[in-house]
Amino acid sequence: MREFHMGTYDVAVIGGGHAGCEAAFASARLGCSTIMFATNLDFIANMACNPCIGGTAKGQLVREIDALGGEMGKVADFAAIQSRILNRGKGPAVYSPRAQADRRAYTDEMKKRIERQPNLELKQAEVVNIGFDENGSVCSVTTHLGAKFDVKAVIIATGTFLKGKIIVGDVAYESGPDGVFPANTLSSCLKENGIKLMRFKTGTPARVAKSSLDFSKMEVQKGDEVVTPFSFETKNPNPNAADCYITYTNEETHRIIQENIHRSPLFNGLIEGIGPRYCPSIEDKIRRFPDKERHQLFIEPLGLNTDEMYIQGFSTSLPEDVQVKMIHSLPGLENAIITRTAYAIEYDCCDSTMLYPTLEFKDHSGLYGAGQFNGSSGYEEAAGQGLMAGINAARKIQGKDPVILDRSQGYIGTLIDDLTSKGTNEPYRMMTSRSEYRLLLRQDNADLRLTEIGHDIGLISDERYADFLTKKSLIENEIERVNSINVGPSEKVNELLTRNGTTPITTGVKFADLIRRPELDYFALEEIDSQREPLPRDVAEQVNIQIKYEGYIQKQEAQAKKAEKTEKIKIPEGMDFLAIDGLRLEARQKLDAIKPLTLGQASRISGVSPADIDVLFIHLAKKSREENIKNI
Amino acid sequence: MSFHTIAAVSTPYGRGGISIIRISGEDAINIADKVFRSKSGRSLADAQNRTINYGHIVANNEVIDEVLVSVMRGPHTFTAEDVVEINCHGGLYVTKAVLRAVYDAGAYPAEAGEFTKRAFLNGRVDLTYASSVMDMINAKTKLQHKMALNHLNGNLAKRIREIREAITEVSAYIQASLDFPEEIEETDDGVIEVSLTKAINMMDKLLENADKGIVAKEGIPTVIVGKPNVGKSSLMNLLAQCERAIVTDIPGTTRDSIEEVITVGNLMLKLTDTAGIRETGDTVESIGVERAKHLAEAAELVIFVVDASSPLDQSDMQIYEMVKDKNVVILANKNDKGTTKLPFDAIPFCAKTGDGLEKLTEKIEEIYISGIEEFTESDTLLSGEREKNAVKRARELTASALNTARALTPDLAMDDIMEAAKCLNLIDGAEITEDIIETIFETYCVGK
Repeated sequence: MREFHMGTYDVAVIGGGHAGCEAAFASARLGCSTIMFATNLDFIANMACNPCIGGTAKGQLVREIDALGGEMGKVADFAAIQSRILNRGKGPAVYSPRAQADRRAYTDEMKKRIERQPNLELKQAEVVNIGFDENGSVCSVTTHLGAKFDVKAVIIATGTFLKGKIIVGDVAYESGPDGVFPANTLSSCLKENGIKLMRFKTGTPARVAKSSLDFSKMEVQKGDEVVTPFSFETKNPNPNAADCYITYTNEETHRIIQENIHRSPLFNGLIEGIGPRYCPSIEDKIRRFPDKERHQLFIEPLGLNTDEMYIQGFSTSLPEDVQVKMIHSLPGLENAIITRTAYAIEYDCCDSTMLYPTLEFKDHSGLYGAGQFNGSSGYEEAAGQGLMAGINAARKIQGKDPVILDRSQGYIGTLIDDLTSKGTNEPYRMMTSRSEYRLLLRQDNADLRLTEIGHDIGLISDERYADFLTKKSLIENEIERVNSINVGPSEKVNELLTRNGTTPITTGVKFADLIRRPELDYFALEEIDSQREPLPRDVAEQVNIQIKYEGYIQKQEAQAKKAEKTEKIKIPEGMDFLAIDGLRLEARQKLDAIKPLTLGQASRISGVSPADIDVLFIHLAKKSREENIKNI
Repeated sequence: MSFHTIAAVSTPYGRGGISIIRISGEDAINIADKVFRSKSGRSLADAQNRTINYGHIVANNEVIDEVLVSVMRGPHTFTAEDVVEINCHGGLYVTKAVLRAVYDAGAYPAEAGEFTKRAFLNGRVDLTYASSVMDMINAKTKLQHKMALNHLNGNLAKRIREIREAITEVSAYIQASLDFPEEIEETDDGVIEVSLTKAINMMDKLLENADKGIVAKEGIPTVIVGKPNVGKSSLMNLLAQCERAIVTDIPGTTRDSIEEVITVGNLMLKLTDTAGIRETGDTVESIGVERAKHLAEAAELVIFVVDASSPLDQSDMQIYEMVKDKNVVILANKNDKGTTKLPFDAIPFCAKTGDGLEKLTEKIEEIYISGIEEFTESDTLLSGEREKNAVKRARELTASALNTARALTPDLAMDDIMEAAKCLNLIDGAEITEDIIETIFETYCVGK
């Protein structure tokens, strides 16, 4: 194959999925000429698995992406056909927006936006080589047709395409997701350059034709009456236009699976990759929880212009003939026409501890990783990383400091810190349990946490920022007002309290204290709050949450403040961890492998004890003081 | 790396008439205010910088001691943080009671060398300290390792594990229902109530016996007194050759004192090493008597040594008068060289040969064994102030979590639950976070 020069760009993004798109937008918007490669341009931002965006922790991620100036929330709002807030009955920290999306509409809208984005070009091609200069810095990419592009940074966002292999029963073949070509060549280039690759596995359930289903045997699941959009910019979210349905597995389903379990590729050795625990196949669930009589399944529409539906909870890698029997044993799916068969997919991904928290490879200047390539799983996790990789690649080219969000600032920060400090041995999914600051990282306050940063970076417009500042001051003023009101034990007040099932008052109390009573909230007290001005719903909700949960929020804020002290202690580049006296050998080796940027990051590396951190801290203090003395 | 407000006794334990309890950190003044009632009625927060304030330490509405409290605001203090020093009476009981009140008010027990560590990190002491601070940390690590190996394989470790299991179980349930709301059928809401109550009950039980356990496990505070040259050092050396007890806990409170924990028969003695203190010829007698007085006051058990090879003198009798009402064992040492007639019961002893050691053991057991027999049979005891403190905090946090779960929502209770788990981790060094995620996947069928 003859190589030829085809162009010069600042940034090349390999892959046009959820990570690639955000990376490309961020880089282009920050002024870098950007080219995005995808093996098939009809699959831009393809939802290869379930047709939905958001969910627990993931909904929070989407809103954070939006607050930082990313695209996912807006496109999800555009393509939404049914929206719900999960966990409504629980605390506000875990309210999580989730929407069924029309997957073609999502793809088309994302592609349209990319095409209209100045500084950004799309190219259908498989990248087979990444070139490095004599210093080991990235300098070019080459496609399968020999087209070479000179670049200053490369973001790898290959999803499940790298050496993708699909497995159904005893059949296995090379393939990307959804029948698209895999990318078989790039892996060897990465390995030659010292990048350690791992093999992960994931899977997707079958799709069935809606017209062949009997919904009278299932429960319907409707969207919320009031739709909450993902993007803080979306003013008129789509009304709900489709329903989901719930059905269950039964004894018959379980019997079919058990009788055929020996035909699972997990047993015949075809699958070598590590699958995620939170995404078990149905055969896994039945084996691990034999006492469970039935498993819940959700039937979700793929879109408004298609008859296909997705069976959430029924992922499997059993042979197709077994799948047919399994599906036909489900209530309402007795006559289902199966349009796409369930499959498991294996792919190459990198060891994410080779990355800095900027998502740049430690040993390859200018090379970044994002999304499933970094060992994560999920559209939202991918998009969050893509955004940060795009931002940091652009900033590096422009000579600016990188942007690293810390754990108390967002799930994005938590996700990247987990991946780069701890690594993962299964596809990493975000969960609220992974955050120690769940109450701070709410979906409702993502804008309050991150809009300022997004504006500073240059991805949030001045106009949106001004709107944000207005909202912020409305919230602050109302909180101040509410905190200053006292309420006397009038008849009207006590009538309201009694009506809400809470004890009447005998002396004057603070209005805010009434809001904090479990039976009450800001909204319930409206009729005794004569001075209240009408406020936008999101502002009022913010006031309610911030007052009602003040004590709990303050506690986590105090913890975050404490943690910040170690986060701020920087470890100088090139520190020789192996030579630090007093550190245990294991700690030296772990620190040397991860090369943490701050003392805080060092403290989260497994195998590094608090005493090791003390020693490291003292070593740093000693070094910096010795240097100060030298400089005098 | 912890930036908690810390406290410890910063004077040698049980030696001297005054003990100083030092509190350092952001909340030092607040914490001190919670236990201090000044004569003037003014709080320490309102006190001027670098002043000494007179008043009382009060805990649970009881006056513990009459004290002088100095308030020193950072950065111009030893640690460069806010520092409060409580000067209380030096007795062991009083010192411990004041320290405990300070812990209860929110201070964390200081680790060995932690004040110096902070002073170093905040730039208050010079570079030459760096290596000694590191040495202290390493010594602590080794000690903890030893602790983990030796002392936590008994029933206590099992109890802590059981409590942690109850907490992990409830955490996994709450976390799973938050992260997988569609998969977890919330029919068993009793889990939270049951598991937390179970954990609280188990911790209550541990705490009930904690004080007895601390004496049994930390060792009975013991001193050897007597005139110079009666053979105290030889006795110390002899005892030190006895089986060294596993040092279960060296609270920050004892970091500066030289103590040896030894086992004598079925008991552990925490022996204050007086051999390290130099005796000069001139003022021999006054020093001997004065020192015996202070030491005896602080100790729980006194071993009084006289020289059987020469007649008793006035000093011997003075010391005898001071210690006779305490738990005391008298040794007539150097019995190989003579046998003076004594006006009190004494065990004929020879520190050089070890003759009489058996009798000494019997005698000490006679005094103590009846009191703590029931505990030596069981090792489900918290063995140190630090551990007790950790369990106490864990218990309070778990109770607070239960209240939150009842009044509001379980997710809000998670902070307290995790904090409680961390307190337990301080005891046996386990890690809980990964456990919870593991437990979620082991226990619940979640995932699409």
